Amino acid sequence: MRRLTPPAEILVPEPRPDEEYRLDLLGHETRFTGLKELLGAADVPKAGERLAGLQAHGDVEREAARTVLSGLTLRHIHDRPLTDERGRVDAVMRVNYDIDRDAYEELADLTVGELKEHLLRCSPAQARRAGTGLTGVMAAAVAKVMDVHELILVARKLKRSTRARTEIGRPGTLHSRLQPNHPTDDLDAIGLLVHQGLSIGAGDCLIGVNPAIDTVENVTRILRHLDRLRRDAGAPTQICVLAHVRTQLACLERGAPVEIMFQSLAGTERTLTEEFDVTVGLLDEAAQAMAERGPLRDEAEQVMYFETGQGSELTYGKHEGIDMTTCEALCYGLARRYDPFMVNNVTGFIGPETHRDDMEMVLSNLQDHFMGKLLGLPMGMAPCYTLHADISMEGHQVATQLLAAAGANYFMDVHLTVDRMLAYFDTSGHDTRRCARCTASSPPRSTSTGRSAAGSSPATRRARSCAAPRGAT
Amino acid sequence: MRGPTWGDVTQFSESAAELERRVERLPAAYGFTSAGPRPAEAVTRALRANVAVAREAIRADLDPARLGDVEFLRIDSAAPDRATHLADPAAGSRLSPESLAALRPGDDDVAIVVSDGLSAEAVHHAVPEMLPVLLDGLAGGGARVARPLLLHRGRVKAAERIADALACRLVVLLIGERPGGDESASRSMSAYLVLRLSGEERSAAARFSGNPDVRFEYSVVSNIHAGGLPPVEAGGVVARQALEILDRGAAGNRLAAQA
Repeated sequence: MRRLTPPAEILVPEPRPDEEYRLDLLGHETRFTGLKELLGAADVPKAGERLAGLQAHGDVEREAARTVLSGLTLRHIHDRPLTDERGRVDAVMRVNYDIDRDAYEELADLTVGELKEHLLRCSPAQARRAGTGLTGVMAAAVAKVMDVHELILVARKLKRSTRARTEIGRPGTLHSRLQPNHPTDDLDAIGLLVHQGLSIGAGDCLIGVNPAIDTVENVTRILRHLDRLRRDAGAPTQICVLAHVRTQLACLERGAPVEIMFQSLAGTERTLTEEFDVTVGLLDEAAQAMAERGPLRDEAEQVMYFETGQGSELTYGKHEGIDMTTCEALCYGLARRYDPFMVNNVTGFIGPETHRDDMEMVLSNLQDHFMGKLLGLPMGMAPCYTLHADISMEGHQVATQLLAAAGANYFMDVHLTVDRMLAYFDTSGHDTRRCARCTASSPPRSTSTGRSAAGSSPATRRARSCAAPRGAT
Repeated sequence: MRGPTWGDVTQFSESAAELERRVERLPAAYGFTSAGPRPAEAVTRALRANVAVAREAIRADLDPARLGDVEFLRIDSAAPDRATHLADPAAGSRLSPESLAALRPGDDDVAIVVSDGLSAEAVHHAVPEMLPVLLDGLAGGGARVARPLLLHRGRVKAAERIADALACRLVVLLIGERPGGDESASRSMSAYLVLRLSGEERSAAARFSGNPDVRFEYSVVSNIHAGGLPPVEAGGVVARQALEILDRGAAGNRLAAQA
């Protein structure tokens, strides 16, 4: 396990009073007070920013904000950490400053706009190095001056692989996380969904259940069931029950197969601590426990799994005046600390108060994927919607295709896109397989290891049906 | 590469009967056949039909005539229309000034509030059967119950405003949940049991939660619909739980910790 920098050792500049940013844009006088206001106004239109009063008043003001932001140096942003309502640098922001100081100094005098151009021009290795020197706020700033083409192109360069029992995220691959949720955690029904997923080659990065009941007994029961299903099928993958980190730690201590440790993250400390009941210290403890006692400790390079998603800070009224995109990037800056095996967003999960329609959801997902990859994370994606938003199945499918083009590491396999426990819609195993088949960058068929599941023993056949699906197969 | 067993879930089942038994336990199961990498047409049509019904549940208006024979006092949240209700959860958590003014402090133990929330269809389907059982159960346990309220465009947090306005100890809020993906899950209702804390109860809750400002504790009974916890049964479950909360002066995790 990588050494975790003690928070007190992380170098964070002293907060400064807000500054006034003024611009005459083609004859229109505009003015923004402080980085939070500027970052909010520079984003694409979204319901959450309208609710928070952070949105630009019209296209001219939005473009003015982008122009100002584009001209700020990374050092300017670095030297002005965003603070909470009491003017304090919170624990999440502090962890975001745990950066490679050399990589940062190489870029510090570039403007945000110049960083974007650098990322568009440079090699994958240079782009990866740049990311190690950036905080979440810098990643959000550059995302706000990028368009759809750019978010896809740069993210694609930044694909990152990780390894637990199996390796995921190599170039040209698209994996899936099986999510066989059930409203009452019925093991027979969960098993059926696992088998359905395996039969279409899903679940090769993880078989992970969100439990309806978050108790040590119940989570242990589901973990043991998943472990049995995985072994019986001979599936080369890993398992997880996405309970609270405390519950999983207790399960681990009782010897349950906690192969991958999960937790939902938030981008402000107040949301993380008061709503998710998690601190940086607790996450440190969980990562340490997994490195020392996790069942995959001897074979895995990474064992942590995080979920994030735009708008949770806003929904709890604990966003500290920071826009949803930036809060999301701050989650990634926190996730990076633990060198996770997998990370995915669930942007669109909350509802119309954060993302009202197809376009808001699509663009936010492209931002999330780009920012996560830029900060070095093995980002999978879970574009989501609920029925009370104006988001359609078609809009969701468009998002999925764009994210596949951008090189997402994995999608969810929620059978037929309907989550049976959480009342929302996500990607399905069918979606993943269709995307894998049509991803433009896949190697030509003649050079790939075209293999068929036919003609082998049932056990091998089942194992292979769940092996990493390649683009061309 | 799709071999001949691709998408064939029967390869994991010992018999057709065993598969059938498992399918019965799975909501929104519309078949497992495929067409290339996509679901078969019959599967897609069944999925889309169910989603359409669920989507309409959001758009249904709360209709008092479909709630049975109980007489309600109608109140409104601060959300003037459906668009505001969906876009701004805080508006549904407050009451309109007129509705707030209509509520007076009384000496009842329990107030029952029915609200559409995110699915009027959920309360249309569950309340007529559930509410009489709940009222009987509470009366049988000796609880004093205020006249039931019908809250239009409400959110869960509105229960706190109502509890304060009526000065009652407990609000039982029956509210439509956000529709899930099938016809049955779009009719899912929850009962939130919201205990208004005072005196020693509040001190104990503050010690338990670590939050010195705690004013309410919540218990919830969810998944109330014909395919989950049937409404008649739910009436009894919620009544018993309400009486236990009143008896012990605790709800939520603190009540569970006492058990």
